[in-house]
Order: sequence, then C-alpha cells, then structure tokens
Amino acid sequence: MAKYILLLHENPANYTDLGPADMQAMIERYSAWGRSIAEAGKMHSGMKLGDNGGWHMRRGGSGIAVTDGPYAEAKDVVGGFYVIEAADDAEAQSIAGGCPHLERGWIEIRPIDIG
Amino acid sequence: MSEVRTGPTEGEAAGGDDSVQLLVANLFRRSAGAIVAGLARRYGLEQLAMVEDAVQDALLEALRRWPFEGVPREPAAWLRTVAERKALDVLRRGAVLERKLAVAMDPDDTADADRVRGDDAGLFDDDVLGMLFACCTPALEREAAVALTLSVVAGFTAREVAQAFLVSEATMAQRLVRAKRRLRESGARVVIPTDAEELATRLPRVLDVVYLMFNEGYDATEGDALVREDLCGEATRLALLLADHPATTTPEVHALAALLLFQLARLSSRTEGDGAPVLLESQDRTRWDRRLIAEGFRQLEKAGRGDRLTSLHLQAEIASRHLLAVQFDQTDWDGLLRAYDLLLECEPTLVVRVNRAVVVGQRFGAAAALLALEEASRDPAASGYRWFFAVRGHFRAKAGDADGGRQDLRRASALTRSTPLVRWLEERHAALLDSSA
Repeated sequence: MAKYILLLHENPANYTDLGPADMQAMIERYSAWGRSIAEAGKMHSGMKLGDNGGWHMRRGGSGIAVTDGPYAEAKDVVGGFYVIEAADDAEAQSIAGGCPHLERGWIEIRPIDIG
Repeated sequence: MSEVRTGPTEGEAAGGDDSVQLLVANLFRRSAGAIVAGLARRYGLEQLAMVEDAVQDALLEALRRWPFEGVPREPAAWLRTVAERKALDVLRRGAVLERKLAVAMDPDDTADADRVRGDDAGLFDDDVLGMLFACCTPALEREAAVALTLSVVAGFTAREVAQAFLVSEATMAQRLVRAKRRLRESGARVVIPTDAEELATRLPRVLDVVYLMFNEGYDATEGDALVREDLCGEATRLALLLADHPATTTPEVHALAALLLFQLARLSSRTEGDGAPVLLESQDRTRWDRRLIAEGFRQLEKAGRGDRLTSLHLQAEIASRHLLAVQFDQTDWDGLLRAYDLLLECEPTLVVRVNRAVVVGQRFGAAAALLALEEASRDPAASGYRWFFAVRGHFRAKAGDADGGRQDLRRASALTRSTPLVRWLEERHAALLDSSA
C-alpha cells in the first residue's frame, strides 16, 4: 500500500450561492464518501487548514522574509487535505474521483514518497 | 508501515463509524430559520441582514469543516454557537467603531455585545414562532409574507422560493429585499403577541400564510419535487409548532395542523415519477403515510373542542373522509357532500364549487356535476382556472358530450404551465379523440 495526499483546492467564491439545503446535502455526500473510504481501510487522515492563509517564508539577502500566504479572497486556496492509502496511482485517482469536493473545487493528488 | 485508522483525524473522524451522524432531514434549513429568528429577536429586525449573513457564514463553515472533522454530536447547537459568535464579532466591530467616536462622551459605555450576552434568547420554538408572527405583519401582503416566511423562517434560498412562485430567481430576490425592508420599517418585532386581543387579530394572518405556504408546494406541478415536498413539510411543521405552543393552541390551529398532516400523508402518492398527477381514484392507498394520518386525527380531535366550525375544520374533515376510505369506492360521498355544503357557506369560492362538483358527480352522476359546475362558471375567475375546465371536460365527456369535453381539456392545458400536467391533459384529450373516432 502506498500513501497519497489529496490536496483539496477551492475557490471560495464557488460556495456563495449555496443555500442551507444544498450545504447539508453536500456534507452528507462528503460523509458518505469518507465513510466508504474509511470502511475500506483506505483513509489515513484528513484535516482542514485554517482560513487565514498562513505565511510564506524565504531566506533573502537580509535574512528570512515572511510574507502572507494566499488570502481567503484568492481564487485558489487549499482548504484541507486527506491522506489515503491506495494500491497504486489508479486506485488513488479512483478514490479522489469519488470525492464530492470535485463538484465545486479541484483535487491535487501527490504520492507520498516513503522510499 | 502504515497506520491505518478508521477515520481521517484522531478520534473525530469524518469516516469513523460512531462519529458519523446522519443529519436530520432539513436540519440546515430549520436551523437557519431558528437561528436567524433567535438572533433577530435578540438584536432586532434592523439587524436582519447582518444576522442572515452570520447564519450563512456558520453553515458555510460547517460545510468546510465537517468533511474533515466529522459531524459534531450536536450539529444544531454547533451551528447556533458559531452563528452567534459571528454575529457578535460583527457587532463588536461596529461597537468598537462607535466607541471610538463617542469615547470622550461616555468612557464607561459597555459594548452592545456585552449587554446582549446575558440576554437569554429564550426557547427555540418561541424564536421561530416569533419570527413567523413578524413575517406575517399586516404591513406585508400575503404573498410577500409567504415568500418572506419561506426565506427567513424556513431557510429556503431565493432560488427555491422563486421555484415555488414560478418566477425568476432575480425577481424573487428583489421581492425578498423589498419585503425585508418593509418588515424592518413596519416596526414589527420578533415576538408572539401576548395580548389576547392582538393575538386574536393577528393569528388568522399567520394561519393564512402557513396554509398558503403549504399550497405553494402542494399545488405546484413543476419545479423540483423535493423542494415542493420540503415546502409542504415545513408548513406542516410550523402548523404543529403553533398547535403545540400554549399561546397559540386554538381549535382552529389544530384544524389547520390536521388538514396539513392529512394532505402531507398523501403527497407522494399524488404524482407519478414523471410528475404527472395521479387521481385520487387511482392513488396507491398503501403509500399514504399512516404516521402522519394518525397525528392528523389526534389534531382533528383537539380541533373539535372549540365551539366554532371554521373553514379549516371543514377542510380537515373533508380530507379525513378521503383517508378513512380503504378503497376509493368506499368513500362516504354523502358525508363529503354535507361537509362541502357547509364549506360553501363559509367560503363560497370557485375552488370549493369545483371540488364540490366532483363529489356531486361521484354521488349523483355527470349530469348533476355539470349542473353544479354551471353555477361555478358564473364566477369570473372560472375562465382562468384550469381545474374548472379539466373537471368540466371530464364530466362533459362522461355525459356523452365528447366535443365539449375535448374543448375543455384543451383550455385546461392552455392554462397550464407545468409540462407533466400538460402532457397528462393532452393524453386525456387524445383518449377522448380515440373514443369518439
């Protein structure tokens, strides 16, 4: 089994037209997806990232420069991530392909290199 | 090498077995309505827009958080807490600005937010009903009150409300903005009237709006079937809240609750998968919801404790008589006709006349029904009422007048915007052509 990280990219503006019933339905689809992956023993972990965008750090000529990361107004932010287990790339893609996140955002899959 | 857990994060896993909670149906809509009501009650209707934003933000936060953290054990309480925090944040920001301006005048001024924190919002249901009364202010027309109630109390989006009213989303959004402004300006408050006289004058409007809200979902034959069902379900829930509340538990309220429960029980058997109507005659009676019917009869029993027979009592009685018949041909038509005669006295409207004519037809045949419809046709609204033509066409054909029947069915479908219904009427029209060919 290999591990993969699914980075959930989103454009916050894509969520502003959702009503209460839409949001509940979407959460239910996430729950169903998460449960099915977990029941298959393929879910390792998942976390939401904070909304403040974080910071970028770079070493420059005058020491370490800290700049603000992407703001919530940005068109593309990583809202959270899952780490999953999959036999191969194809299975990882198939698991991500069922994630309801794709209804409004996009997913970046990166294999975790464990040597 | 791999540490496989049952869920995404430690303990609170979105995929974990016991942390996954099935959300109660319509939890978000209901919570949205109840939290908006509670916060608007606390901060006043002039803050309605801010309150609605805070609630929308809280729901959105749930959408962004719960897929990773799992659904909390008390999702409604979670939403409420987050919405309250967001509203307070906005108020504090406002208060800080105001304080900066007024700092020299009153240095001991406590922030608004602190003042309101100790103010208990009161019971959940009181908030919802208080907001219902506010939306049903005499300052708003009935239609506007229905739309506003759907939006503010029942958590429907402008798009969903627009669907129920068969108007565009932009039109409905504008109407809602206007209605909210009028609501603010009317001086209405989020409270159930405590004065008996005020309550007596305002309750009829509330019942009227809940009834209309139900019918928006029940009569519509187009748009999203689920939204329509939710609309009927939410109207019924409001009727039950009113029926249960000590301030509003009158026989007439129980009659309304009974009526809506009876209608709701039959809702899913009224249309086929493609949205075409199924006549009462052909409905699968095993699909009627027994639980709702039983609750309906409990409400009807309480409705009978008053000394006034209202239109709602009669309508509930009519609905109950249909439900009591195990089969269509066991319907008590005489009992129904008596109820319709009384209803016609209370409410001499076209809709009642047309429905009564159907019962007359079942009891005494097509000729009698056509006679009853003759009276109905004098109502100027008849020329625009599709069910008048659908019913008359049916009885004309039955009485041997195939031409007249065809004409009426054509007029009925011309008055119908719903595609499944038009198809259904045209099929009946075609059947008439076949039989007379």
